[in-house]
Amino acid sequence: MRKYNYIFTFLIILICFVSKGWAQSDTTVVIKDISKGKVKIAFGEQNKENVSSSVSTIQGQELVKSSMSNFSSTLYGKLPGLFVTQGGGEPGKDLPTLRLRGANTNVLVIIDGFERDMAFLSPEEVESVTVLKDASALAMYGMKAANGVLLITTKRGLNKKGEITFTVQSGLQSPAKTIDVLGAKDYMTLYNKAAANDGLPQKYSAQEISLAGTSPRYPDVNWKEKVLKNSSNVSKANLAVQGGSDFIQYFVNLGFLYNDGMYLPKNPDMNSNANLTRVNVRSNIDVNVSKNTKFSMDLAGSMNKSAAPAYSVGEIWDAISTLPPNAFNVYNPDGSYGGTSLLLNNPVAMLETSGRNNSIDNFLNAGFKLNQKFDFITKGLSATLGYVLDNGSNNSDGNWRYFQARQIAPGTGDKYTYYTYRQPTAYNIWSSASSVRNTTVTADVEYNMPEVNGSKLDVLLRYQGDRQYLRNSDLSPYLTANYASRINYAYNQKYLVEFSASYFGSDQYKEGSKYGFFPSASLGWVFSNESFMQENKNISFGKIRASYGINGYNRYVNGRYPYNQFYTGGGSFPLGTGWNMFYGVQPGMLANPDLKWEISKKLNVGFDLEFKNNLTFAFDYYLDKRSDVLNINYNHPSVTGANLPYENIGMMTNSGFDLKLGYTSKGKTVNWFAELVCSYFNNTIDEMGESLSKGNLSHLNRTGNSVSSIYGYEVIGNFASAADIQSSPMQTFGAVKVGDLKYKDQNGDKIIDSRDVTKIGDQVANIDMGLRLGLNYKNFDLEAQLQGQFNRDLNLSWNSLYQPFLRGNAATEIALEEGFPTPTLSNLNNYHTSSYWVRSGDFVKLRNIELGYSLPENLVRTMKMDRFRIFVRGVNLLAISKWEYSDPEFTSIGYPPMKTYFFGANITF
Amino acid sequence: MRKNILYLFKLTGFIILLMVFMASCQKDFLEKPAGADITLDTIFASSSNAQQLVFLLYEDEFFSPDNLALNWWDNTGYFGWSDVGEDIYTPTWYPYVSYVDGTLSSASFQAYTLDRLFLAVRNANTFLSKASSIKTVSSTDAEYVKRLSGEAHAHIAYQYFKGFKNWGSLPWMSKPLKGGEDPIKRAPFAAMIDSMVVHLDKAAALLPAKWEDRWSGRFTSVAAKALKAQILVYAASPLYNGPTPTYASGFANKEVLGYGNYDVQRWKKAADACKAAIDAAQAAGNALYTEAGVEKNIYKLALTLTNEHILYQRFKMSNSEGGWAYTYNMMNWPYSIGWYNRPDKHYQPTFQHVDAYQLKNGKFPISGYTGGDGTKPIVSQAGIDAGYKDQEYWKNRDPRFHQNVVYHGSKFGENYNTKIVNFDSDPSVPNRTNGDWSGTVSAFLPRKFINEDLGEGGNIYYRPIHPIIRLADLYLMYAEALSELNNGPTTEAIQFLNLVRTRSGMPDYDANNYQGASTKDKFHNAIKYERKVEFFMEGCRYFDLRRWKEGADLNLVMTGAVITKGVVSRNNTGWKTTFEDKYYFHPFKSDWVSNTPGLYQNPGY
Repeated sequence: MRKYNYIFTFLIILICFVSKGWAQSDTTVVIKDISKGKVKIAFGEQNKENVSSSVSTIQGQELVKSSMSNFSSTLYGKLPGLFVTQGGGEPGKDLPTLRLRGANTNVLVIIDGFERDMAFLSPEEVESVTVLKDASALAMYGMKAANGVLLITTKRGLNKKGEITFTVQSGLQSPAKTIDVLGAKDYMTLYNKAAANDGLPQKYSAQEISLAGTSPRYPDVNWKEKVLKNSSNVSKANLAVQGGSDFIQYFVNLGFLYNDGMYLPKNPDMNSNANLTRVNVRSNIDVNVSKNTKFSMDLAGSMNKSAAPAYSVGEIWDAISTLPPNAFNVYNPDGSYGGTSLLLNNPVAMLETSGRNNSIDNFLNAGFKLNQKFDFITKGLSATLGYVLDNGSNNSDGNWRYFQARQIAPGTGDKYTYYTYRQPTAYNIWSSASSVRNTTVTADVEYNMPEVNGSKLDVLLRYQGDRQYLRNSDLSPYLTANYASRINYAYNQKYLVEFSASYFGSDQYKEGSKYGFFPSASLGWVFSNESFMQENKNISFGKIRASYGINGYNRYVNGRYPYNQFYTGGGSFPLGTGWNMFYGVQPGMLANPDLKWEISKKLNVGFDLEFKNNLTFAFDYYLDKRSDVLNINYNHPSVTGANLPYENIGMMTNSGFDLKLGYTSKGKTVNWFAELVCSYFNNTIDEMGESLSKGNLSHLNRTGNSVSSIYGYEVIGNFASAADIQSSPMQTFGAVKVGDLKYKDQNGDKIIDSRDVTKIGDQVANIDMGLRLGLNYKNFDLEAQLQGQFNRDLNLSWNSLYQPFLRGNAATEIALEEGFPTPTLSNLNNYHTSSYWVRSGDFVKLRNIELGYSLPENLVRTMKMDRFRIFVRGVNLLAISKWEYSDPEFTSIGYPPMKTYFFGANITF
Repeated sequence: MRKNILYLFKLTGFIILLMVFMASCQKDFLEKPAGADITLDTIFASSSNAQQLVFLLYEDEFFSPDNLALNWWDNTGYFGWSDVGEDIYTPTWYPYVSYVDGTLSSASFQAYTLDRLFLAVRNANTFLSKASSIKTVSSTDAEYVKRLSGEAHAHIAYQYFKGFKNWGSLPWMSKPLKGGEDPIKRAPFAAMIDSMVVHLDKAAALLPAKWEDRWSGRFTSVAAKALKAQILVYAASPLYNGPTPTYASGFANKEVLGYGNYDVQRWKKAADACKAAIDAAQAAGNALYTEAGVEKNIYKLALTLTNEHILYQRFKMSNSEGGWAYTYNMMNWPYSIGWYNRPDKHYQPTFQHVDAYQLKNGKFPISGYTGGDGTKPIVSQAGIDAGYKDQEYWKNRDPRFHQNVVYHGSKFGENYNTKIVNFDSDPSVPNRTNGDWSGTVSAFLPRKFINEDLGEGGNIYYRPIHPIIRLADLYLMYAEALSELNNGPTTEAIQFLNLVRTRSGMPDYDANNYQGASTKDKFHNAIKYERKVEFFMEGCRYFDLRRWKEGADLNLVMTGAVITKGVVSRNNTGWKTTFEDKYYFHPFKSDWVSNTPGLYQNPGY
């Protein structure tokens, strides 16, 4: 460790001396102003032209028009290489996943230089979002680099008169399509059919079926209707002030969000609907203490107050989606809640009487930076010390109680007798608190050599030490130390060279092996600056880039310090006449003293082109070879008697491309633009410690497939006749009948069992496309964002929504589909994971569309404003997919994603 | 010049500052803080920590006799051997149905997995390898550590016993492995039996005959001797004590399947071990349970800890709201008695099982089936004499029938609200007590291990005692061993059999009631009957049939009862169980075989 310290110091001395020689040269060459803006990169920024690594950026103002209840949802289809996939829609729990170039872990989110949560950002406070994609752009993040980095930079003050921007919007949400549960008549008819198939007597008589819904004795409840509102409210407001003077610059932002939940039943004792109220504030202040000294203080805070019903979202939606419609009434004639001994979860009762959970999450991010210019030593030298203290706290409380349910006892007529289940209780009250904390210390030395003889040199040396308490329960913090540097050299704005590297250490590894070195290099050639291109009529800018380097991934598996052998508590058992409980211990996963971080070797080749007709094109091809991936080695003998450890044995390849094509048309009255983003990857597992099967069992192997593959049986049709069943290989999942699914005997042993499982699909899309279109006509503006994901399969297996009756659950409309296998009450033959249950989940969605109208300037002036614009926006209005039963990104049981209509105004003073 | 010196001076100052800052930052920054980790050092710091290594071995995951499936939704953790056999209908969608439906393969679900077995053995070996390093604080403490060692020895034998019942012999682990060692081969069968006996002898020497009350349930010297007896009875049984089964004649590693020859002395060893265990048990105060009377003894025995229990495992499950944990109780509860009305039924005894019970006079009312068809019973002369009719199948049967099986017309509900069970299949019949979710296949439910007190809710514990070995088992094993050793039952053998029969109000052994060419065969059939009804739902039957090489008994089409407006008829359930010779030794999972050289796959898979 000390050794590196000396090398580091030596480097600084060397660079300062060498550069001093150049800097003192008095030849100055004036170069035409080529700066086309800056791009944020790791721990700094660069002239766009000088970037030789692979990065993509979008400006904050471009995200405002996609504004939703969380910041990550503004990123659909906008950044090449980034796959954004939607989750559910519960207020405050609706974050999408963000995966870069086939990685199976979310990108690392860095806000103003530090790892932070982006959920509560307002798009209005964001200056830019940049995704760092190749080894060169990522190298300085060392062991945190491998899965890509999303750099979010918030706005800062400007040396100008203060400007106030105010946005207010309010909207209505309704759930995206969810699969419909069959009504009582259909349910009972189908149930009888299933019973007949199983050789069981009919459960419902024709009379019972015809009476469904006519009296409390024959309930027919559509729980979705009873439980969900038609629409709920979401409101947002944001106030931003930006300005400053020579001495001080400031940016202050205040955001507000209220998002109401979808539940209809009201608890008279309290508001038990799901909801989220968020207030977020930010104040970024830069003070020029002296000519050479700048102090920055960034404070950002957020208060999130959320509530949810006492029953979990899973339990509520499970009840809504799987209760048989004829199971019981919402309310019995005597006013009590309906329920049976088996099915006590009456969703209306769960929402009306059971209480709620409150949660208050507060975050405070504080960053302090002191920047000192050392121009008096050599021009362009500066140093920055930084200290960050991020805090988060959660205070939760809630109350819950049991409700009583009653079931109408068998009988006839209007006189009802009841079976009563469960004693109602008084509210139980609980509370809990937890906190997270992160402190970081940074030191940077930066040298931006003034341009001499066409040579431009930028050097950055950086130290960063992180101490993170990720969960309240962490007894010991996660510690990392990063010594990083970057040297960027440009000659005549044509030839670009960059080296960057990190010497990164983590406390996860044993003494003496804590640090790894992660170098990278990139080259760029701005061929449009060559003299032979000066005459070119079409191309205004052209650059070719290439990079190669090593990134690391400090993956935490099997808890902390896996180089030690730990023991863990086992279960319990009773002993003695008092039946007292005793506990055992057992070995945890076996220690692996040689455990190391995962390695990603990334090659990236790309180019950027700008045409004189306002067409821009950027393209990147990449090859990402993962090695040392942590996997359990199943080639070890299994008789060891303890869980085998993770070892650095896995290998994986991601390759693909991403591109962005843009066109802008500036006319007199009509301006329009179109931007197409396309990302593609191909993922292959090269080695995963799998005990490989050979010969006619090789279809079982997962090595060689993608990580997200779906495995199951391949359906080759339905059994046509008894003779067909007789002559086909024996299926081992229960007696088969005519009409049941017939599986392919992959290994040819005349028996269908788990050795016939093979790859039948892939859960993760490998093509993500975004198309953004914008149009200005006079005072009107229109913008739309489309996103599509392709080569993505839905796995419907083992989900009650698609398996009528099996767990006593209802049937959904899919059971009426042409070709749906023979209904059954208990036979699992048809319900194993098979190609029948794997459906294409490709989709194209209209993520948002916004129409705005800006009031004429003269009118606005008279109102003492600079700008006044009103708009309507629709979010997630349309989804086109072969899968029609529900939102193609949400096929499970839970709080579905939302469609939202906003109406609002932007005002600038 | 001056300018350059000044520059150097300033630069040096800057760099020194920077170095000081960085040095202060990174000093020991990545050091692991001291924590409350559990490591081998902390475990062996005291006997009270170290005992936890041994305690783990008592958890149901490792110690359970697996006689009942206690959880319905997760049969992997709670497998029921009682379900595997000819007594009980197995729902076709249960994962372990492959043991009886003819599809058993190296890909099938496994009742007990090798990782659990070897984890338990590893814990015991870890304890034994370091027990001497435990600092003891007193002589009592030192004595306690000895007892713990005894338990560790006994548990190693118990795990291998569980293993060899399934697969034959296994790799013998004499110390905890670090991982990455050369694989250890399956031990020869004889060596494995010897090793288990050595461990149990050590255990018997180190353990007390009885623990003080607060520790009851732990291995005793009596339990170690009883387990030794059971292991030696298994080892002396035809499956192992004889030539390798013909189906396995081509198998290269025959030594892992059994002795390969017959030696009557193995029965001698077994009989001696049984006698030693019985003597030790009686000396320690164990006795057959008789307090509840002949009509209740067997039923109560399943729910109460008695002097008859020698090695057993218990569950503690609270009968609180939503408690899935006592699924066994709930899943086999007649519908609409009490408040938990699960309509689906788990264990359903077959009509063939009901037919097997003797009459109170010790004679069999059913002697067989026409064409092997369970719906066509052949009523024996004894049956005719007793006026046997299917309509009144329950009349005059061995008292254990009523204690083992809930049937149409029987009483249910012990103390609170006795009801008459009504399994009529006609929906128009009032007060029916059968559900309809997946249908009742046989119109019988088990009664053993069901706590009939639980139906009304309230804070009652479901505390079944799952015997691994009880005194009656030792008696019957001893009787069996004596008969095998002496080519027919000795007076002593008959005496021990009669002790078990008398306790349930059955008349003494009468060879005339049993089929068989010789007195030895007749006595074998008497033992076979006795074990079937005495240990119903105790997970024994399947393994008994296998060790006797009588797996063919497991080939049958299950017959159920149907009650239509009170009329009893027989119903072919269509559910067929299959036994193939290769099932005498279960398969290992194919991935285990492929990554563990020396873990030879059993023949036929």
